[in-house]
This record gives sequence, C-alpha cells and structure tokens, in this order.
Amino acid sequence: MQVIHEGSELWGQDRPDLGGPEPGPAFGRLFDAHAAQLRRYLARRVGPEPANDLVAETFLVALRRRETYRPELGTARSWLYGIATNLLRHHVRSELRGLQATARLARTGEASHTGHDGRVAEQVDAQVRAAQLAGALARLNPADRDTLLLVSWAGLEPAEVAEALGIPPGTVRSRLHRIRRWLRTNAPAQDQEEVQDLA
Amino acid sequence: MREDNVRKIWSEAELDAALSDLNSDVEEDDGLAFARASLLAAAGVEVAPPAGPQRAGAWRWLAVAAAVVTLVGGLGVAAAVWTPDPPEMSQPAAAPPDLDRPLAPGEFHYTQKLAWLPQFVFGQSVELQQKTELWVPADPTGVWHRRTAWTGSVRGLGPDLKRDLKINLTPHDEAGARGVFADQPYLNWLTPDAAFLAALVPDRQVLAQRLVTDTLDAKEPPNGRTHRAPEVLGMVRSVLETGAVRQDVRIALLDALTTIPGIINYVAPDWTTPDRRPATVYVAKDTGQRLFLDPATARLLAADSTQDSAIRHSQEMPISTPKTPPYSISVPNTTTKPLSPTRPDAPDATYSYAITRTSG
Repeated sequence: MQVIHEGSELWGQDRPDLGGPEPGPAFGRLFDAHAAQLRRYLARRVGPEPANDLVAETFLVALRRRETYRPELGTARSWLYGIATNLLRHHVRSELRGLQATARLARTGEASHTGHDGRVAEQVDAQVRAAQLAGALARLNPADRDTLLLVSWAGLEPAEVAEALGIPPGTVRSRLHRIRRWLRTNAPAQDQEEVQDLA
Repeated sequence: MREDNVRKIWSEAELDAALSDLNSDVEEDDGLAFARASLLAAAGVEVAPPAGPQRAGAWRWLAVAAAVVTLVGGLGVAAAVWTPDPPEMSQPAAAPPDLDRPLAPGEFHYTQKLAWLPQFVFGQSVELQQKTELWVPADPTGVWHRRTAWTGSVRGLGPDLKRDLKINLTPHDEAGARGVFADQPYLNWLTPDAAFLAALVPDRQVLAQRLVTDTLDAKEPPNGRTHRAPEVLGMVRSVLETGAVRQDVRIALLDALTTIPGIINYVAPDWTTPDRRPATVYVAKDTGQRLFLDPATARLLAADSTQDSAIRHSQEMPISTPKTPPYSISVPNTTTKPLSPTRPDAPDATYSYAITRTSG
C-alpha cells in the first residue's frame, strides 16, 4: 500500500478521511503530497499553463466533492487522478495538437539523421522515437491514452488506474497489453504516415 | 534503406524509452503555490502568502495571495467557462461570492483578463497569452492599479522554436488616479474612468442612445456619429472589463444591446458560467465578434479579440529576445473577415473577478 506522506505519524495513510467538518488541514496535506506530481503529469499532457489551472481545478473539485470520496474504494491519489482525467477530457483537442506538432518532428528528424556521428545520432534517434510515439499517441482513443499515460507518466499502479477510471483491474491490464503491443508495432511507422491536423 | 525502415517493431525497452523521453522537459512552476492558497481559501483556511524563495514570476500569486479568501470564487470563472459538461455536473455547485456587495474601505474590485494575442515571432504567426489585472478601489476616485504581463504560454510555435523563444515575464505596472492612466487618450467608452462609470445610469433607453451616438474621440463629429454593432460591442466590453460597473447598470447595458441593430444574442449551448449555467452570447452579425455574458449577473465572461478594448495598449509589452535571428514582432491588423456568429471556437479572452484587500 502506498504511503502518501512518508515520515508523518499523523497522516501516513493513503486513504485519509476527507469528509470532516474542517477540511482545510487534510486538503493541505493532500495537496502537498500529490500536487507537484500531478502537475508534472498534466504538464506533459497539455502544457505547463493549462496544467497549473487543471491542478487548481482538480483540488477544488475534490474539495467540493469530498463527501463522495470512499476510502474503501480507492486511494486518495487514484481519486484525484480520476478527477483530473475527467477534467482533461476538455483539453483533448489541445493535447492532440501538441502531439501532432511533435509528431511532425519524426519526419524532419528522419531527414536530418544522415551524416551525424554516433552520439549525436543516438540523440536524434531518441528524438525521432519520441516524435513517432507522439504521432501514435495521437491516434489512440482518449480512454486508451489515459490508461497508458496514467501508468507511464503518472506512475500509477494498474490497480490505481482501475480506481481512477472506475473500471476493473483486469480490464486495465488487458488494455495496457493491447495498447503497448499496438504502439510497438505502429509507432515506428508514424514518420511515414500523414499526421492529420485539427483545426 | 535505413534500419528503421526495415525493423518495424519496437522492443518493450524502446517503447519505454520513448515514453520516458516524450514531453519530459517539464519545468517546475510556482503556480502551485497559488493553487494551494486558493484551495485552502476555499476550504475556509486563513492563509498567508506562501513562504520560500521567490522566483521570477512569483508576483503572479504574491500580488493576490493576501486576498485569496475573497479571490477564490472569482478564480473559478476563467477555468470554468470553457468546461462544458463538467464531470461534477451532478453536484450542486458552490455558491459564487457576492461580487456586487458594497466594498469596505481598503477593498478593491479585481479583474483578471487572460487573452491570446496574435504576434509574429521567428517570422511565424503565433499567439502569446497575456494577463492583465486591474484593481479599482472602493472609492473609484482613488488610484487604480493595472498590471500587464506575458504568461509565457505560446500557441502555434513548434517545440524547437519554442525553446529558443525568450519571453519577458516582467510585469508592467501602471497607476492612474480616478482611473486615468498616463499616455492614454480619453476615448470615452473605450477608456472608462471613475467619472465615466459614475455617469452611467441604469436606463436601457438612455444607454442604447449613448451607445449609438456618443462621441468616442476628437475625430468624430461634435454630436457623435452612429456606431456600428461591432463598435458597440467593443464599447460595452471596455466598460464591463473594469469589473467596477454596478449590477443594475450592467443589466441595463445588456438590455440596451438587444435594441442595437446588427447585434443578436443566443444562449450558448455548451459554454457555462462559473456555477454551470448557460452563458449568453451577444454577436455582431456582420463580423461575428462575440461577448459572452452571465445572463443573471451581466458579468463579462469572455470575448473575441478587438482593438477597441480598454486594455488593448498592453499589446505593446515587449515580448522576447529570441536567440535565432531573423525575426520580427508586430501586431497584425484586426481581421475584417466575417465569422460565423455561432461558430464553436472559444473566444481568446476570458475574465475572472474578485474582491481583494490589496491592490497588487
């Protein structure tokens, strides 16, 4: 079981009571434990400024809906990421624009690959690979993208992803397996595919 | 033929490496301190400005942190207005603060405007986000404070060029007694000051007449001229974005807009007020320029860009010193191409309001 606030005797639980009459202290600790990591995750998905807004909105929604948090159903962290995932749905278009812009680098990186020495070529390869992945991520449906990135970027365990998304853990695992297999096969071909712009 | 073109399947390690590399250059940001202060304020905790070393940009939250107890309600506006069908829709929304209560001495009407402004950088047309804050004191004949700064957010620039773009985040502060700022020509509705606001009466017919015929500047005929619908929307926008117009006057202004030829209004199907009620959109039919307003409070929620704005001068803020020449920076002319009145795109300026106990 994950410990939210290591070293704290008062609040070493990952399933705190958030429904008390004075929620300030509990939510202060919740923020301190999770906001930075949540912000980093959201910034990787939609950029830094929207991420700041989303973090603030996630915790404000959590505060308003604190009565609905059920510790027996999941950790506070998975609950927060579930809220953030719902809020992210309203930023899908901007996320796709970012991924598609990055994906275009796959083709430019491909073109500039020839003639580099080994170390530089490795760096170029890494950039091209990331760009290819961006193009492939843009082709995933939002639910699949959420599932993959909650594990890979947010560092959630599959069981926590299941709690966050409200789906069975087995579904998360099978979905992850399917997504990863698809990405391994299809991402390398992204530099040869047309990346469709969103208006 | 290259190896990549032959080997079409990544290993698990290659996929993990790509996942690790993609968008990994995320910097820390002091915006979290503001988010935390807002959260605690919403939770009913009296909070002091966060401690710790201040970095460039810290003004963004320090300026208002002392007033977050009253600010937090307003902060939700900009975040909420573009979140149709929110996940917490089934939950009763928190009651918004009463932003129209009489102010105590020492309090301020606070307005924050976040706008995407077109600029040319590295020879490309991009959009930079600018934040403009305005504090109007309880007694509007006192000193108004306006602060303008780029937020650092850019739209339309590739990641490689974005890395080379250096944006000056230093805020530009101005003070103006009675709302009169230096080097700002008096343009009546377009540069409203304390005297102008005080002269507005909650009479729909009077306001409608003034919107159509008031003289805006010295170049107009002495008795004014008939303004077109887009001009009228710009005039109303400039006045409402002060955040200091009485509610009865605001409502009368909206009533007046409904009588102006060329302006239509409709209920926005997807866009909501901070407490999730549908916004009302007022549109100039011939240009598509829009104002989004809360129909209950007549507060301005969002708007399309226009040059006829009380805080348009802030576009002159210096932007950046990119490393890679050549580049140029200029403000393009306002588009004259008519746009669909009911188009779904978001307007590029959003507003939030609060009552604060500091003036930044």
